[in-house]
Amino acid sequence: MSPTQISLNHVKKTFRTRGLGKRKEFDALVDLSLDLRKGEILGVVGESGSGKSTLGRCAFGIVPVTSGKVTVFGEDISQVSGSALRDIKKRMGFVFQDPIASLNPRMYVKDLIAEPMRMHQEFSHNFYERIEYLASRVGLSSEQLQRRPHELSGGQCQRVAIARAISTNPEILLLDEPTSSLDLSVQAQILNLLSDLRSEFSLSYLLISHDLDVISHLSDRTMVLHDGQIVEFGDTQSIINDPQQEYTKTLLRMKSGSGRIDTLGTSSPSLPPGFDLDMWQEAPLNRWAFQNVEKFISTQIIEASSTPAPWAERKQSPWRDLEISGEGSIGSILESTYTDALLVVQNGNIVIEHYENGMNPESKHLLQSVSKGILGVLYAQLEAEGLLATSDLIIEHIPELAGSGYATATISEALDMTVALNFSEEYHDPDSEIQQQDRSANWRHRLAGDVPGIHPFLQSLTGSGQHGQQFQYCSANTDLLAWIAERVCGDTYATILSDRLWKPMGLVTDSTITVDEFGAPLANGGISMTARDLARFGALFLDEGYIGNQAVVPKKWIAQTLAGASNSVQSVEYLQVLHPGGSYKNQWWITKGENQEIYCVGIYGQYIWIDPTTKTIIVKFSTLPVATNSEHSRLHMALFREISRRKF
Amino acid sequence: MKTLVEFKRYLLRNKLSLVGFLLVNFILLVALFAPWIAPSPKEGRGVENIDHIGFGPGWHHWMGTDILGRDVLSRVIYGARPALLIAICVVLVAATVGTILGLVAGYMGGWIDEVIMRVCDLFLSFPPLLLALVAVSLLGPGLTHAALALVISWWPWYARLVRGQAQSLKSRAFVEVASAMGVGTFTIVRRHIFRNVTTPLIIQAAADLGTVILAAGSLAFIGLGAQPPQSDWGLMVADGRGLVFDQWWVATFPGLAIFITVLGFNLLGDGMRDFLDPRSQK
Amino acid sequence: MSAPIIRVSNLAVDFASKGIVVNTPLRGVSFEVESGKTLGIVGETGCGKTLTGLSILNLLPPNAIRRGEIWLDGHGELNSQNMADVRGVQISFIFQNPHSAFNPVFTIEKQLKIVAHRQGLDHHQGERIIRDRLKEVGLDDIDRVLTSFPHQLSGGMLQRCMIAMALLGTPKLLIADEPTTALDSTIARQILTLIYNLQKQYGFALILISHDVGLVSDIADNIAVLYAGRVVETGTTNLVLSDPKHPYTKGLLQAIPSASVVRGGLTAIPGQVPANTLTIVGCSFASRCSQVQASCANDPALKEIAGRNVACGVVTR
Repeated sequence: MSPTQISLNHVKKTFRTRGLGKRKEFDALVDLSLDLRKGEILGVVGESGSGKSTLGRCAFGIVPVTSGKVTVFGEDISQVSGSALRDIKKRMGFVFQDPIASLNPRMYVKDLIAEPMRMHQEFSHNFYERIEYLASRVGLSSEQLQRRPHELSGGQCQRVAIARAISTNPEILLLDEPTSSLDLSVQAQILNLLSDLRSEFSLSYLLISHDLDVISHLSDRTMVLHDGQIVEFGDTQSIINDPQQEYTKTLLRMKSGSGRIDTLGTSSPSLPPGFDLDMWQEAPLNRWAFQNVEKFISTQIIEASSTPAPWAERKQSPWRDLEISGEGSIGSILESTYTDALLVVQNGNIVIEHYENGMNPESKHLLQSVSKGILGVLYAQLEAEGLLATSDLIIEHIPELAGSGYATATISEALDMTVALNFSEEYHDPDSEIQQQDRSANWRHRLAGDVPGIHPFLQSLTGSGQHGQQFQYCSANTDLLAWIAERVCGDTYATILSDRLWKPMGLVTDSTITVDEFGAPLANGGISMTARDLARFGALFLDEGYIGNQAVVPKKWIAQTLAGASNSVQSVEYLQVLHPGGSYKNQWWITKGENQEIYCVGIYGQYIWIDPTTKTIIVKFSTLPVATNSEHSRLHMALFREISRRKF
Repeated sequence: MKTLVEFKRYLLRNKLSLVGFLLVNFILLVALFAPWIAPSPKEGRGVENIDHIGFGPGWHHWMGTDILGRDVLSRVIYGARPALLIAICVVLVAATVGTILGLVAGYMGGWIDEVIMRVCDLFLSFPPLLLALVAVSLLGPGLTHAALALVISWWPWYARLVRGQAQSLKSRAFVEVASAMGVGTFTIVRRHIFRNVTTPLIIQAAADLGTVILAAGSLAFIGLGAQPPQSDWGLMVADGRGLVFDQWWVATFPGLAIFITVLGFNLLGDGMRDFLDPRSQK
Repeated sequence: MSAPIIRVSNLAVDFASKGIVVNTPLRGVSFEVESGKTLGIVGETGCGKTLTGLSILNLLPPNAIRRGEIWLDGHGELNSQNMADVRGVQISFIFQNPHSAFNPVFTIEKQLKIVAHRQGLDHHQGERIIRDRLKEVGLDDIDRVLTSFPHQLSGGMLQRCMIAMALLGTPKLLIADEPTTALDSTIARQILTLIYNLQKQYGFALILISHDVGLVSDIADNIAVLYAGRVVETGTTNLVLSDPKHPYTKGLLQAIPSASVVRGGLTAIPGQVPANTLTIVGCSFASRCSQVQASCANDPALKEIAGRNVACGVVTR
């Protein structure tokens, strides 16, 4: 371990306020210990009144401590004085918050920089050259040396303060809110400078800030301070990515740019006990989470139609005890598949509508990959409007992807999942691309090295061979297609869906879609909507693209999708079992069964199933304990096939 | 501090300050070159001329002569010397003493501050002229003693001004940084505190010059300042006060000189304040 | 789509000295805000953000000359005659530093009542509405707050009082100039959430002025990036921030530090905002831009690129 340069041992600092009558005491620091190691940046983060500035001042011997011991360069700071103290001070530098206020307005920049050297009587023959060197090192011109602080900008003043701090070649620097009175763009310049100087002069920093972004960007280790006490202290990455204390989590959640207020903001989102962003898709959390996604992930609203077209309801005949051949009753199957909702529409009438787990006809449920089918339908619209052609190269619309695996792929290859990518869809493997994507999209906690945001993630994907040859189910393709849709329409995906599908289709309830911190949608699985509204998408396929008298998608596209793709999905073994000869077209699964059924499926048991022959639509929402399981899939297929062939 | 060029530009924009500036310079020149300007330098220095007693203003004596036959103009010209001398000396000494005590009190704080400020309060609780009167009556009349008395009643104003400034400067970030770096107390006070109180000091001093002239004149008027036969405006007004109806010129012209000088200093003082302290500008 | 509440076109401000224009810090800014929507105005210090807010209400120093048109729903074009009806009634303002925005010698109650009176409320109505609003902005001990002097309250509480004050009438537009910059991050987030929830409740249009792109992205529907007194990029927040087109917008976003950016890898925009826009020839950002070309000598106009408006002569898609 590197040698310790400053160590605080059970330090306590009490301030007494003088006033008329009673005296008040206030503990700024309570029994605090820390060590600053050589060459490290130690970040201290806290809100105003947390004692962080007092901590810095105590550690650098600027103010005496009430009890405890402060050791600097191996010497007890309270015991040294005179020239020994001066020698210690010479090895320290200071940069304080307000750059303009921390410079004497009456002095010239050159004298300000020279002050510590004058004090330590470092008059060498190249005194003035050294000032010039320091100035140029921090990015000041020699002309600016002749000015006074008020003639410079805030950022330039902070450069002067930094030049002054390093003028005596110190080993440790106290940086107390060095950038908090600066613009973000100037802050970036100063942070870069501090970072460069540290490596150039092998400095150690004690960095104090209220800004978690600044701390996490620079520091090696981070201390979270609250009411004069250490809340959490450790490696910066682990504090940011895996905070243990509630207070740290609050700080992380509350920082600006941490997500749209719309959904996250409500001052304390009521999350169930034991909620964990990395576990919400698993049982048992998913039973709550799939209906409450907007409470822990940023979402945008997909507005419903102002003239809703509700389903015709009909008295339901008893269905619970109907037998599914060899599998037991419908009721028992629903039970064993963790059902949240089952909706069956036949010939335009609701014939079965059943909700569990606290759901009702107005409840939204996460669709997972059923969301992909909605994008497929949207693309029929976009193509009909002439905004794009499926034969277009992807990079014609998103040139940013030129360096990625998508460089040579076409839109139709993405729609039909035949883009060859290095992409693993292993839902439970933390190293898989699908989990990385979840983390990029804020569906899970980010880890070190993750790309922030969905679009940067897509840009990071690499190709694995010739596109258009083989079926490869890859969720990222759908998000890419949503990006293209936003680009060609010049609007958010949520608005596009609302304007082009939700409103014309007369959908009843506002839906939501999860977005990352930049507002990019997770189109492959982030939509939450009601079972009744989802079933409308089935109606499109049954009525040749019409909803009532309203043409939503071209008849041709419906026919083309129902016909399926030429290359079947034989490569995936268990799909062969489910629907032999089936294929994947326009984001829908085509069974090629005798009734020409098509469907969409999402992990943990989300389905929309359409049987064009019997004019039946089935929507099922579930919260299975595992993402995919071939037995559950088989059971669902059997259930859907039998229900559709029955006459209600 | 701003440059002379800027000050010149400022004066040209502000007519009243320019008038003050010109008046003060005029009086300074008059005092400096009194022996060459005065029609009768000898009489200006106080030598009587009994042949010319009681002449009114006329071609030979523009301002007439006094009861001892001295040319009033010459005496008014010579009178500028003690007036300016006492004003500059008093302000200089009072400001120096006050600044040092104020810096010590303001920067050190604690009981030193208490002691110095209580003494200040003691001095400030008397009307300034009254204090000076008491002091001169103890020391005995005379120009030097009058100056000393005025210093005694003037320094607390500077001490209080500087102490307040020093106290607020002490908590400013740049002073904190300096002391964190280990800069010595003396250097901090000199480089970081004193340099930043110079502006209010100059403003205060410029405004005080006129007031001190007035006060010195008052002391002389009641016989506690300059002594005859010295030419002093206050003294001359006192001499002429019994003859105001017969020989009005004897008291009027020195009185006018006091008026013009004080006006000049006050206008200049206001101008300096506006120039140096942008916050007071309208 | 609802109709705009406010439409600002070609708003410009000149500063004059002795009748001669010495600086034009605002050089033709246009935008509109719909009711219930939020426009975020971002840019560095000195880009004209605050001036934009102030000039909407004509709260400018005497040597400033305002040009351009400001149209407010129901009032037509704003001029010096109808400004008095609008200021504080139809358009409310929230300032950056709550401590300096309140008068230190009056209680909160007194100051709120003065504003309530200005809204034409009588004593009893005023008292009721003041209490209602204070409750709505999340203050609990209303009696204590009312009898307090500003220095007795924390920054967060004072900022809540200021929001309550801004909503004593029923403004159509709320202008918030760095409403959370002086506050701790946790408090800041609460205040922002409060503003958002109140907007949903009252349906006012909101102009949020901030240098913090992150903050704006948390709440704004649309965003206008200001540079040297001009809008250089504007569009939906999602689009502009996820896929910035103007080099300046890109620079602003790249300057945001976070743990995931490699240390020292922040791409800072070199140089600084030009102090005097009178000397600018061609593109104002050219001197700091990494993509500068010969064509940047021409002043670029806002034109539509990829679904938003961008003022750049170099970027084409």
